[in-house]
Amino acid sequence: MISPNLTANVEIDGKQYNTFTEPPKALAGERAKVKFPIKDMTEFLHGGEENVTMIERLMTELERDPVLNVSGDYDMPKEQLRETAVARIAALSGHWKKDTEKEALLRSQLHGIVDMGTRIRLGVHTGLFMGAIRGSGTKEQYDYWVRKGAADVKGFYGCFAMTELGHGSNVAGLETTATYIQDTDEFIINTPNTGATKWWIGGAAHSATHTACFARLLVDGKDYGVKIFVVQLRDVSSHSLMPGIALGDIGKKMGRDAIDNGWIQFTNVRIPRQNMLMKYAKVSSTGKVSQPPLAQLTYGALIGGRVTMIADSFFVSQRFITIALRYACVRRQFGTTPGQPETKIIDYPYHQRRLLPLLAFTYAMKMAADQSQIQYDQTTDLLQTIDPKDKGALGKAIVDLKELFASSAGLKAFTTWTCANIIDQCRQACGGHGYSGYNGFGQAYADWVVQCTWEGDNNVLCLSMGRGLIQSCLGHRKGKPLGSSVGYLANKGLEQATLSGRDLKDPKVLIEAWEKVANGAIQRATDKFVELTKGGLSPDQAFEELSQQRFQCAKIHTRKHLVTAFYERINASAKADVKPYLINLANLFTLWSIEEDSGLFLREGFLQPKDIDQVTELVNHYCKEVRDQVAGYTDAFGLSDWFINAPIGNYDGDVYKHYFAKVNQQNPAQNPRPPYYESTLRPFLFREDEDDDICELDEE
Amino acid sequence: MTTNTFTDPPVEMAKERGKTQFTVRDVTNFLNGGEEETQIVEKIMSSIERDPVLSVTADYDCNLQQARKQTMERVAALSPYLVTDTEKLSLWRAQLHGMVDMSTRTRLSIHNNLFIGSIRGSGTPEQFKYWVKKGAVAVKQFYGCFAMTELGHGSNLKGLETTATYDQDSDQFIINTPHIGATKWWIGGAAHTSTHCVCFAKLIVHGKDYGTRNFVVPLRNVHDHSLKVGVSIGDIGKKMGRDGVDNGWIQFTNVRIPRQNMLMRYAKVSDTGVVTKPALDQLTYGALIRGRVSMIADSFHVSKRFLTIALRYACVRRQFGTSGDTKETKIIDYPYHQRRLLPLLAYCYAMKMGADEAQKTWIETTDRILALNPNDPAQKNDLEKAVTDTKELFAASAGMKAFTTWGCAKIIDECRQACGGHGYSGYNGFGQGYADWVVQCTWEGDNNVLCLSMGRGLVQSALQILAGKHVGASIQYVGDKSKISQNGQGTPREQLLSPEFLVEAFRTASRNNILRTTDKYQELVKTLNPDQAFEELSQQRFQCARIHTRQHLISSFYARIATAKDDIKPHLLKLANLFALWSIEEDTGIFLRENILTPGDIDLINSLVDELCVAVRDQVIGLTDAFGLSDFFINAPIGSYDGNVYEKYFAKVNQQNPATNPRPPYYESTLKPFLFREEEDDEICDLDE
Repeated sequence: MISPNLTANVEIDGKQYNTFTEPPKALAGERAKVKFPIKDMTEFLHGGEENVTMIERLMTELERDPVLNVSGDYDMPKEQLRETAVARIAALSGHWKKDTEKEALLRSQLHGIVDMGTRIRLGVHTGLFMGAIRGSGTKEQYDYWVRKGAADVKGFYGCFAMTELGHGSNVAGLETTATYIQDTDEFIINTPNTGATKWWIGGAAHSATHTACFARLLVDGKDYGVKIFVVQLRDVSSHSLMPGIALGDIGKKMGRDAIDNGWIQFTNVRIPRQNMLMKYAKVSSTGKVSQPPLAQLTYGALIGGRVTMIADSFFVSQRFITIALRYACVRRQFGTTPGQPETKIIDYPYHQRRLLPLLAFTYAMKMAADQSQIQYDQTTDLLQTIDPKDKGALGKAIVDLKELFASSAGLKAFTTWTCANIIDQCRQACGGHGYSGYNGFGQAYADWVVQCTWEGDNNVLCLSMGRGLIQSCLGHRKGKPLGSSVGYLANKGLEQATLSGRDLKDPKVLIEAWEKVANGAIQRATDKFVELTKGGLSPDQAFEELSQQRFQCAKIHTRKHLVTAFYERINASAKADVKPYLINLANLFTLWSIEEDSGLFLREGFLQPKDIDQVTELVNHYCKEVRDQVAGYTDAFGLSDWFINAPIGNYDGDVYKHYFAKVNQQNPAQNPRPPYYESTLRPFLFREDEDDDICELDEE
Repeated sequence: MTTNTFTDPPVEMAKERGKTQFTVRDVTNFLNGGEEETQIVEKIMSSIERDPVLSVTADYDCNLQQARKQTMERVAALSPYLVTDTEKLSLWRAQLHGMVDMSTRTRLSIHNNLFIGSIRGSGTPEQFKYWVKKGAVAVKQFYGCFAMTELGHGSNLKGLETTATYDQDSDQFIINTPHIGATKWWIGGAAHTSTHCVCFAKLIVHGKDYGTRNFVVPLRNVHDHSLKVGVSIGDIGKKMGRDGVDNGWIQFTNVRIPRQNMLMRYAKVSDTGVVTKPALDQLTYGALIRGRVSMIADSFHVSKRFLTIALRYACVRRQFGTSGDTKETKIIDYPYHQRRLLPLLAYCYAMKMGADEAQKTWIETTDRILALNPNDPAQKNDLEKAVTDTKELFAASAGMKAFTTWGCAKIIDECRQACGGHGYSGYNGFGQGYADWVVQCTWEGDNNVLCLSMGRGLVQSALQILAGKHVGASIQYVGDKSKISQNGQGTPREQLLSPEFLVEAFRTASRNNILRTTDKYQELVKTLNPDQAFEELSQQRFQCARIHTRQHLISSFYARIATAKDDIKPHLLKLANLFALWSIEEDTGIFLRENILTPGDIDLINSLVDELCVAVRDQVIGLTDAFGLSDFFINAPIGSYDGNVYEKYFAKVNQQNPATNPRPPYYESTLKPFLFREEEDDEICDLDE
C-alpha cells in the first residue's frame, strides 16, 4: 500500500498530476499567462519580419540536414568530433555559392548556438584566412587566391597563423621573420626559436593547405614590423608537408574539440614576394618598402570577429536562459505551506532575481550587437571603397574605425563575460541536472569561454578602452570634438544631477543616472592622470598607475552603453503591444545594474542611502512583473528543441520524460557489469590480502 | 647570459624565487598547522605521487570509458589505506588526492564517507558491526553507494517519493519507486560498482507516513554482479566533469528487505510495527555536514593549485612593453594583473583558516554526538547542547561552503584567463579542473539554498539577541555596539591598515545589514506569516549570509595570524589586509550606505590595494612555494616549479600528440573527398515549352 504523497499530487482542472506527469501541464499554464503576441516580440528582437523569415528558413535548413544533427555530440570523443566537423563543413559547402554575406553570417551564428566547434573550424578559413586576404591583400591578390580555390574551399584550406607559443595578444611582439631576398625575389619565413612556434593555429593540425602567417618584415636588415604572408603548408594533392614546414597537433583543449588546433614551425621556407599581402605596406622587387599611413588599418580583420562575438553572446545566452527558465517553470522544490505541493522554483523571489535580470541582459546584448554590426558594415564598406591615397577620406574612415574599435572592445569583453556567467548561473539554477552532459551547460561553457581571452583578451581590451576614454576626456578639455558614444562627457549638467525625488521607473532618469556615474568615473580618472603626468610620470606610466580606474571606466561606460542602446531601440522600433513588456525588461536591467554597483551611485551622489532600499524594492517589483511573462519572453527567441539540445529545456516542458529518454538512448542499460568487470572490478572486490610476513627466524 | 623567449623563463623564475624574504617552510607549517602536520602531508603526498597507478599525467586525454576503468584501478590501489589510515590521515589523503584526481577521490568517498558514514551515523552500533562483517569497511565483495536524490527531487529530503512500506507478516520493508519522477538519480557508484546502497525512502507503517529514513538495500548479487530481483539500474552517462565516477539511476519495483536493514539509531520500527521517533530529527542528516566541512578545505586545496600555476606563469610570461624597453614586460608587473590575482591569493589563504576552524568544530561536535545515546532521558541536556552546537555548525558551514566553493570556481576561471590562450589548453588543467569542481556549488546543499537558509538563521539569531537570549559565539557580535563612528571627515590611513578596524568595519556592515533585515522582518510579520515574510526578504537574506561569511573569513584570518612566527607575520598581515581592503573595494556600496566609510576613504582604499599588491608581488613565489606542491600535484607544464614553461609545455603537447602524420586519420574518408569534390552544375532544362 502506498500512501498519498501530497508533494507529488497536483490538481489541475480537476485532474491529478504527479512529479512525472505535471511538467508539460505546468508549462502550458505559464504560456497561457503571456499577454503579448510572441511574433511581435520576435520581430522586435530580430529587426522586422523579413529578418525573422530569413532566420527561420536558415534554422530549418540547419535542423533538417542529418549530417548537422548534434544530438549525439555530447558523447563524442575528440577524434570523432574532428571528423564529424569536416563532414559538416562539406554539408554546409552547398550553401556558399548562393548565400549573401548577411545569410552566411547569420547561418554561421545560428549554427554556433549548438555547434561552436564546426562553426569555428569553418570560420578559421572563411572569416580569418579569407578576411585577411580580402582586408589586407590587393584586389589582384584576392582574385589570385580565389582562382586557386580559396573562396570555394576546393583543393585549398586556409588558416590564420598569428599567435606564437611565447606571444599572444601583442601582435607587435611576434618573432617569426620574413626576410626579403632580392636575388630570388622571395621571402624566407623562419621560426627563430621554439618560443616563436606558431601556436593555437586552428586548422593547422589536420586541414590547412595554406596559412596567412604574421611575421616581421625584414628588408636589408631593417625591421618593418609585422605583416601578413600567405605560406603554403601542405602539398595540395597529397596533403604531405611542404619542405621546411613542421607542424603538430596541440591536442586536448578545454572545449571546441572539433577544431584541429596545431603548431607550426618554419625552417627557412621560401615564398614568392607576391605572397605578402600588400594592400597597405608594400615591398617592391628592388626591396623598397612603403608603409601604410596607419598601422591599425591592417588589423581591421580582427574587428569583424569582435563584433560577431557580441552577437554570439546574445545567441548563446538566449539558449541557456530559455532552458533554465522553462525548467524553473516546471520544477518544484521545497514548499512554504504544509500540505500543499512543493513550490515551483520560478516562484521563489531569489530564483527570479538570479535569472530574470540575466534574461533582461540577454535582450540588451542584442540591441548593442545590432548597433555595432551596423557601424561595422558601414565602416568596412567605406574602407573597401576609398582610395588609400585619398588622405581626407582615409582620415575620416580612421576616426570611425577608432570609435568602433573602442566601443566594440568594451562590448566584446562584457558581453562574452556575461554570456559565460549566464551559462554558469543557468546551470546552477538547474541544480544537479545542470551538471548532466545532456543538458548542454558543461559543453557550452567549455566551448564558450575561450571568447573571453582570444581576439583581444577581455582584460587587455578593457584597459585599452579605459585609456581611450581618458584620452577622449583629455581631448575634450583641450577643445577637441567628442565621438558620439562619449558625447555625455560634454554634459556639464551631469555633475549636479541627483535623483531628488524623481521617478526611478522613468527611463530618462535611469539613463541620466548611468551617464552621471560614467562621467564621474572618467572625469576623476582624467584628473588623476593630469595630476600624475604633472608630477613627472610619462603618459604610459601614468596610465599604468591608473589601471584599476581604466578598467572601471570601461566597465561603467559599457554598462551605460547597453542601457542606452536598449531604450533607444525600444523607442525606435517596438510595437505598442510589446512596448510595456520591453520597458519592464529594460527597467529591470537598469535598476538591477544600479543595485549591483550601488557604491557608484552613492559616491557620485546621484542616490542617497535610503534610495537603495527603493532600488531593491523596484528590482523585486520588476522581477514579479517579468516572471509571469517568462514563457513569452523566451519563446520569442524562436528556438526549436533542436537548437535547445537539452531535454530539460524542451518546448513542451515534459522535462523528466525527455531527460530520462535521452539518458537511456545514449546509455542503453544492457549489462549491470561494466566492461572492466573481469579485468578490474572483480579482482578488486574479491582480492585476498597477503598476511604480513611473520618472521620466524630465531634471533640469537 | 643571453636568453630568448624560449630560454628566459627558468632564469627569471630563479630570480623571482631569490626575492623571497621569509623562510618558506615557516609559512608551509603555518598553513598546515605545524611541522608535524607538514610531515604527515608530505608523507601522504609522496605515497600518492610514487604510486604508478595513481599517475595522472595522461588523464587529460582519457575518454569517459577509460576514465571509469582507470578510476576503479586507483580505488583498488588506495584500498589498503582504508584499513590502515586513521580518520585524520584518511581525510588528508582524500583532500590531497582530490587536487589532481577529483573523480577517484569522489568515487571512493561515495563508499567510504557517504555509505559508511550513514551506517555509522544513522545505524545502531550493532548494525554497524553487522555491515562491517559483511565486508563494508574493508570493501571486500561489497561496495556501497548513497541513493538519496531522485529525478524530480534534489535538496529537499522531505519531498523524496521512494517508499519503504512495512509488511508485518514477513517482517520486511517493501522498497518501491512509485513513478519515473521518483527514480533515484545521480547515484555515484550505481552504474558500475555498487553491491549495496543506503536508500532514502519514506517510512510507511500501517498506512501512516513517518517521513524519510535510511534503508540498506542490496542492488547486485555479490558473486556475479547481476542485479537483484526488482532492481533496475542504468548509467546516466556524460556529465560536465568527473567522468571517472559511474553515476547511475536506480528504480525499485517492490524490493523486499529485512526490517533490520532500516538504520535505527534514531527512529525505530519494531516487529509489531510500532514506530518510535527520535528526540531530534535533524541529527539524522549529520553525515552531510562532513561533506560540507570537507568542501571548505577542498576549496583551499584546489584554489592553491591553480593560483600557483597562474602566478608562476605570470612571473615568466612577457607581453607588451612600455616604450623603450627591448624586452616585453613580465605580466606579473602589470598593476592590473596583480589586482586580478593577488587578492585571490589572499582569499585562498583565508579559506584555509576558515576551513581549519570549521573542521575542528565538526570533529568535536560529532565525537560528542556519537558518544551520546539519543534514547536515554538522562542525557537529554547534553543532547540538547550538542544539537545547539550542531545547528550553529550547520549554519556557519553553510555560508562557508557556499562562498568558498564559489570562490574556488572563480579562482580557477580567473587563473585560466590570466594564462591567456595557454589556460585553454587541456594540458594546463584549468578546463578539467573547472568542470570537475563546479558540481560542488550545487550538490550537498545548493549554494543559493544554503545562503538563504543561513540568512534566515542570522535574522533568527538577531531576534534571539533582541530578546536577550543566548546565541552561538560566531554571531554574538551582532549584539555588540559598533566601535566605528564616521564623522564624515574620513578615516586615517593607519586605521585603514589596522586589523582591529577592518574586522570592526566588516562586523558593523554585517551587523547593520542583519539588523535592518530583522527590522523589516518584524514589520512584515505583522501581516504575513514568518515563511512569507522570509520569502519577501530573499535578497536581504542572501546579502546577510554573504557579508557575515566574508566577515567570518576576515576575522579568522587575523585570529590565526596571531599564532604565526615573527619572520612570516608581516607578510601574512599584508595578505590579510589585502584581502580585507579588496573585499571592501568590491562592496563599496555597503560601506558607504552604512556610513562606515566616506567616498574619500574609498579612493584611499583603492591606493592601499595598489600598494599592497606591489608589496605582495615580490613574495608571490615564496607564498605559492609555501603550498608545497610538487609538479605532480601541479600537473600543468606552465606552472612547473622550475619555470621552464615553454619547454615543458611544448614537450607535453608532443608527448601526448606525437606528430607522425600530416594527414588526419579521416583524410581518405572525409577530408580528401571534401577538398576534391565536384559540384554538379545546376541542371539547365532543355525541354521546349
